[in-house]
Amino acid sequence: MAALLEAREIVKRYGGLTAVNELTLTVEPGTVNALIGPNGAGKSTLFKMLSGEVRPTSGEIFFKGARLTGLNATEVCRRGISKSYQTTQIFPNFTVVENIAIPALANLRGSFRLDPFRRMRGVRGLADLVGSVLHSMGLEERAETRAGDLAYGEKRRLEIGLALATRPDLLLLDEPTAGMSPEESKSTVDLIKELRKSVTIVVVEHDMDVVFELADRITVMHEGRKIAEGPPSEIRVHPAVREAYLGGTL
Amino acid sequence: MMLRAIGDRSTWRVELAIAVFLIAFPWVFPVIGGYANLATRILILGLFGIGMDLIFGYTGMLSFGQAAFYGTGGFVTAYLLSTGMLHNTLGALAAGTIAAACCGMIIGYLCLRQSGVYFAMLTLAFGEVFYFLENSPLAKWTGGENGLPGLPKPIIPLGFTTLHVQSNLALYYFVAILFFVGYWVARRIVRSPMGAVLRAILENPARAAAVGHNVPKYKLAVFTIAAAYAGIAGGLLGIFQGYMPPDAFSIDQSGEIIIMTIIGGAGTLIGPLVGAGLWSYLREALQNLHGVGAFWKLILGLLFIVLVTLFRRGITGGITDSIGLFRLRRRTAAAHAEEAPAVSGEAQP
Ligand SMILES: Nc1ncnc2c1ncn2[C@@H]1O[C@H](COP(=O)(O)OP(=O)(O)O)[C@@H](O)[C@H]1O
Ligand SMILES: [Mg+2]
Repeated sequence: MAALLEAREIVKRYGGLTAVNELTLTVEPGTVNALIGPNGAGKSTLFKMLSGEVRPTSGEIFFKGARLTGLNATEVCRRGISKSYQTTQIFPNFTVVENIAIPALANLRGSFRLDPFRRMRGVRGLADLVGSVLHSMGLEERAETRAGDLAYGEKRRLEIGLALATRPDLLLLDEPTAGMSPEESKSTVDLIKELRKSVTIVVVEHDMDVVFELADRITVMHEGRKIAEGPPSEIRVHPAVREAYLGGTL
Repeated sequence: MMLRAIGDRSTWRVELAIAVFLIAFPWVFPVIGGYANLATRILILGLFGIGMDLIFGYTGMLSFGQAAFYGTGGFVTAYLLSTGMLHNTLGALAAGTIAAACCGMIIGYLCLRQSGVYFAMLTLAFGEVFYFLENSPLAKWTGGENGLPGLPKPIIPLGFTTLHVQSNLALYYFVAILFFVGYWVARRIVRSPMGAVLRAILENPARAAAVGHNVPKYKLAVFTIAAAYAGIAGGLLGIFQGYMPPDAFSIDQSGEIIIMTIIGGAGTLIGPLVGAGLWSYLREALQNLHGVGAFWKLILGLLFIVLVTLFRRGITGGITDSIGLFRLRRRTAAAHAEEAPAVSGEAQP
């Protein structure tokens, strides 16, 4: 089976600092992949390269067999990769529906279209797509609320909803549960379990219970490098991982 | 679930209110000392300002060079009409508008490589370049410092008859019709899917790009549209005055339209008209006031500082916010009134 995503020895340097160092990553379609590692390991930087926001210093990225390196975030999104951010990036003065409508419009209209005389309801499929994302995110009740007024956990779910409404083939979730209460965190994990039925996922997550529950495959990063990779059963007992990251707590 | 246009609550009522206002304005305005020509001037600036609002109030791009397109539209229209190359006023206006839009597309393409302050500075520089071009190298066509005089009153062939717009009032209504069309078009734009994307760019440009919108292209498109608004307004200025003044190109003109937009309320489309009305009316009134004379600029400046401090979303924003608050209070009051009997009903048995 061909891999959905393949990053080959990608490197990102910021001046003298190497945030990601010769990292190779393969993501098979239909899987949930967890990316773990201490703060500053380079996880978010890796995501930025995969999503086209940052260009690798060297190395190549392939998606669905085509070269992705050098494309910008808009083009990468159009190819089918979408990211939810570690720090919430919503449209705070829009309502929740309006927020979801923005990525949905990109999905349905393309990256650019001059349609100044079309009405919103004239965009075929918009109501269905927005409705289904609201439903998956459990935000239907909050549809008409201004996004900036949502509770923290709801904002985080909206953040995922924005990525989902582009209808990606690969969804990158950067610390989706960070800062959530245990209940919020649990419902987000349930949500990711639902999502995995329809989309391939790479998730950065700190909670090991969550990681072992969700992931088919785990990649461990440390100081920009991949130090281990494998199914949860292997990672759990991996000596280098226990030393570098889990600190022997398992 | 409601999928209406983003940030929009009202429907055709707004257009109706604007139409009624446009019809009544020259009749009501004299009550406070206004007159038809001043009303016309205000509408022309209001139309110019709609473009400014589309880029600034809806998309978040601050351009200091809009006078370049105001002047371009004005001089192309004026040249065609004053030389007699075209007799049809609407044809000349269309040519001026298209010329301004083309300049807008080119300048926009060059400036939009930068954003924020650098974008603003580039537009400022291009504004100056255009002013210079009009004044010196192109003086043969533009009349240089003298501008272009001798524009005929509007002549509009309708096929079955030809309209000659003669009186000041008729000229006002000619401009008012074009203003209304311009306003209606802008309303359609901001309520369209494209308008939703523009607002998303204003709110969070990086995320708008990351979810798949080609932000630079949208910015260029709306910049071009704004230049077209500036162009038609410039053309109307020449036609209205019978003379195209070179200072349409001036940096002051670019600054004034920004001030009018902010004072009146950015992101409202009608704000620039309100701002232009206040600005133009107060200028007239203060200049004619005994003892004020040359101090009018100082007084206007102070007044605007107060207005900007009081209303962060301008006069129009301030008014719509108050209406919204009033409606919210009324709704909550109604909700309370509904709840009350239910509670007492529960308590009874
Ligand atoms: N834009 C940047 N400029 C300079 N250094 C950066 C930048 N972004 C990230 N870094 C550095 O790269 C390293 C990896 O950061 P990051 O990818 O955010 O780690 P993680 O998400 O694993 O916590 C950190 O040392 C961070 O300070
Ligand atoms: Mg991170």
